[in-house]
Amino acid sequence: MLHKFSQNQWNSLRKFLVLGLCLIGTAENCFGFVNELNILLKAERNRFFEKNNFLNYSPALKKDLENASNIKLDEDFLISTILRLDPKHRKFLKPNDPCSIYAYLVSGQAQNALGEVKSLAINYQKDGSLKSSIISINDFHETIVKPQCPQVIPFSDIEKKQYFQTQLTKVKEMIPTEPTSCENDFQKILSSPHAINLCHVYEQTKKPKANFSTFRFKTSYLNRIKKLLNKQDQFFMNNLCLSQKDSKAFCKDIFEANYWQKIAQGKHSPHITPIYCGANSKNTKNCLNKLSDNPKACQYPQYLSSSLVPAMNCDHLSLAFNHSHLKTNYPECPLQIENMGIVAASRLITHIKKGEHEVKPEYCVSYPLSQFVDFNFEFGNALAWDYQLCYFDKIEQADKCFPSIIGSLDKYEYSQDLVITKILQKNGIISDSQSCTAVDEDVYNPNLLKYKSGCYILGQLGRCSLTQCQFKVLYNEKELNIIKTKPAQNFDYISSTRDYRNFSQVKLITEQLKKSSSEIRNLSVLKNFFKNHPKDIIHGVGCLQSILPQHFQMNSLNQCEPIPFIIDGHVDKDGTSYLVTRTSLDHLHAPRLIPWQRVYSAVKTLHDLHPQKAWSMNGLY
Amino acid sequence: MVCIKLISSFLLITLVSGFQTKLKAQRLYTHPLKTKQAVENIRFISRDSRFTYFQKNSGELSLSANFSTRPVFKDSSNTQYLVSGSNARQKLIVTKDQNFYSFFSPQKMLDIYVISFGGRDATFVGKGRYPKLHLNDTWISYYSSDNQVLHFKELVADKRAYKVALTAPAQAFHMPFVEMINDRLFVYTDLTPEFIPQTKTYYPQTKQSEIIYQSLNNGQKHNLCRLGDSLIVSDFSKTLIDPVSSIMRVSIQGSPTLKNLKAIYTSDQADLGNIHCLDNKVFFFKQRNNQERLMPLYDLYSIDLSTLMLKQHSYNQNLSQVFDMDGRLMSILSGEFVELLPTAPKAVQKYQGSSKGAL
Repeated sequence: MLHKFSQNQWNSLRKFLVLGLCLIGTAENCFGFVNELNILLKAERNRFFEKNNFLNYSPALKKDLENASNIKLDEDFLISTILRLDPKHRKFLKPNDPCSIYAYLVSGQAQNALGEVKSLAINYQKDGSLKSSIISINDFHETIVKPQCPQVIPFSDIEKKQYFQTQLTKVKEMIPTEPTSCENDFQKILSSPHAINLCHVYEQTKKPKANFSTFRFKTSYLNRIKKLLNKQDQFFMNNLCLSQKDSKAFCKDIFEANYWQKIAQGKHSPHITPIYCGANSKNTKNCLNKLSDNPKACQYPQYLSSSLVPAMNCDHLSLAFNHSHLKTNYPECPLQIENMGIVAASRLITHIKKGEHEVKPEYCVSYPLSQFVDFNFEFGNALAWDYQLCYFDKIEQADKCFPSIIGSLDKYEYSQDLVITKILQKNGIISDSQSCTAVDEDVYNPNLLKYKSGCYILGQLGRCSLTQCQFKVLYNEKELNIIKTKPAQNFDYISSTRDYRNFSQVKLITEQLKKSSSEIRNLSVLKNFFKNHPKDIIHGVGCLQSILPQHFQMNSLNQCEPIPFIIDGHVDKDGTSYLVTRTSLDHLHAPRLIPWQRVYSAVKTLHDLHPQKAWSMNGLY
Repeated sequence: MVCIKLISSFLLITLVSGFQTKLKAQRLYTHPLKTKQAVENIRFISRDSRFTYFQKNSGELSLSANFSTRPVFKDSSNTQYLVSGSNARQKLIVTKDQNFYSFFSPQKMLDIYVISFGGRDATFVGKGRYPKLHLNDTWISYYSSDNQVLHFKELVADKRAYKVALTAPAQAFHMPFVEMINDRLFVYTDLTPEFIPQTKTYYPQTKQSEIIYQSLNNGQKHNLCRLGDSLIVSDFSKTLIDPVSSIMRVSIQGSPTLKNLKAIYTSDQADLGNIHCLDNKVFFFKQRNNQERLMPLYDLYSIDLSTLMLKQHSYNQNLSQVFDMDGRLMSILSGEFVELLPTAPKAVQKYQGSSKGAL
């Protein structure tokens, strides 16, 4: 079926015809040949069938092409294919890149007057004479495509297990994160020979199930792919494969469209939704509409507690989220963690380790702490974590302490409930088979039978903080008072002296997680950093009074409240560069747009106060 | 609640109709601080430059005066000190932060001391934040952020002490402002559990609090300062949607309950506020005019309480903080502390101390 052509489409097709004719080797005939569309179409069909019938009597085998030279695609076959090019596939073909045409021809999507392209006509020279022949698409790949474009894989490989998943992950890693380089990045995606293959498979999954059997892919394969794609993947694949968007429209959708509507349409991070709309999924759509229409709704979100409020309004948040790429798929309560250095370190560690974890919201303190504790214990910096649960050992006549986090986390060795269980077992109060369960004191009801026996830790789960986490241990309804807490938690986030610089969190994270670090001292360097490392982040420490003057006022010389922050994008508007910034006081899911000058000023003041004049804003890549 | 609404409504009417100011330009220029020490080491210089408090990385706060340097505090390395005073010039407050690089939190409790003005003998007052001297430096107030309690302590004579519990939710990271009218009437800023700012009076004898002004919405912030017989209450927006900006004045003699607030400046722009009172003027940051921007820029203005004249002091400089150090008006520009003076930098060869302050 020939696609309907508008004049514009025809004009844009002409450039591919030029390429096609170049591949054929008859470019000088090109424009005389394509003068009139109708003449072309008629001539094309006639010439195609004539040649196909003739050449089918003498199909070429691979061995026939050995020692052949000057192999060219037959002009009539190529033009027949290009004329049937689906407009949405046109973006994959690059006039200056023959490999893009080859990738299309072997992808299984190319059509000619006979339907799906399964064979191609070629012209070549052998033994001193010019020959023409038909060749199967597989042989075409082996003999012509592979030597010239080794990155192009044949259709037969597409259905192989793991191909789709592996390539989808690779292509998704190329999703633009920088508006300035977005259009180039989009072209890079299109240039990937795998993009067109992924689209071929994806387009098949979007067809009605009843038609699956008519496709070349197995139904089970297509079903598996369908299950594999979450809403975000589907949005990306729709944009890549099913739309005719050019790079401008594609980038506009990524960086300028309303973020809340993108979530509502399943295009973006669904994990943000419960933070702003609560866990009840029935109200989600209404809630997201409200966030789109009522910018005030984000300033004091009902479910976003334990961080600095007011947050930014929904319009500004939408803009910030569109330019943000920090990994944020986990709960967090900065206020309860208290030491903002821990908040910052756990954010850096989780981002670098690409942590994306399904964690219940009530673990908003224990999960970030576990990231911090695990990292420091793993890399021999246990001194950074002083929070311990202790008991008096009667044999050793001394306090014995075990490191712990506050709150409980499933199967985590430093989880408070497991550490308390261990202490009670060591003291012979409970047997090795018994354990203590953490119960929120608001839920605990002594009249219920289940609380009459066994060990329970009563506390304010998810609400207590590192220095103020009161809990009671009950065993068979009797309160035990053998456990004491040691709540100190001081460590250097950035190095403050030469002696201990090896143990600053920033240095430890950079070195142990094998990252490179570069100082960000001016705006050009910052912009270049994101241009060159669009998936990476900048971190720093600066004075709160400069970063957030609307919240914190200054009243004396050299006053500075150091606060760590992470920058994961920037928005250029009104001649100002606004940095997508999360200070450790801000919720992980509520970044702020802070003008560059304020961030610079904040870092500069701290730099001047620092004993070694360390510059604390660095790119991590 | 009805009472609060009445107060707010009354004030709103007053705000809309109650003030007229004229605008005049009086540029203040930013000058680097001229000191013998590196500026980052300085914590306080008297206006006549006769004494300087500075700190060392070793954790020592020292006093330099009369050509000699003597320690005030010695503590662990990297301990950070801040020194501030009042216009009474009787005492100075010193805060000590031993965990400046190892514990980051705007709710961290600091050690608070007072010393005599220009002296070295320190008296420990308590642990908290935002300390301020009052009533000719005979009282001090500070805030315990861990339990959200304001402390008022007398520094002489009876050493009376009072505590006032605030209702501000912890996640507002509330920074309370406090003024003592006398030893029987305190004023402070608070937030409702719904984050709506309130300015309240507290009567220590009866232990009763009373709201004298409440914003209509959350997203606002209150600030207080005192100029002679006037108490200044400001109400500015922390957000950019439907902003309300106002500065109000109440005569302490004329309104014993302090409820008769009268607006001296109002705007529906998203001004930054951050008011500071000095030399009968209220300095504040106002949104730069006629700018449709993602985020506003600000310029420094002041209102003279005698003439109600609004004066613009800075132009396109991106200042956002203003305070005074013993009468010298200070700000921070591109990360460096600067003094604001009416003369252009080239004309000032060397800082000349002035007994009347910088303005």
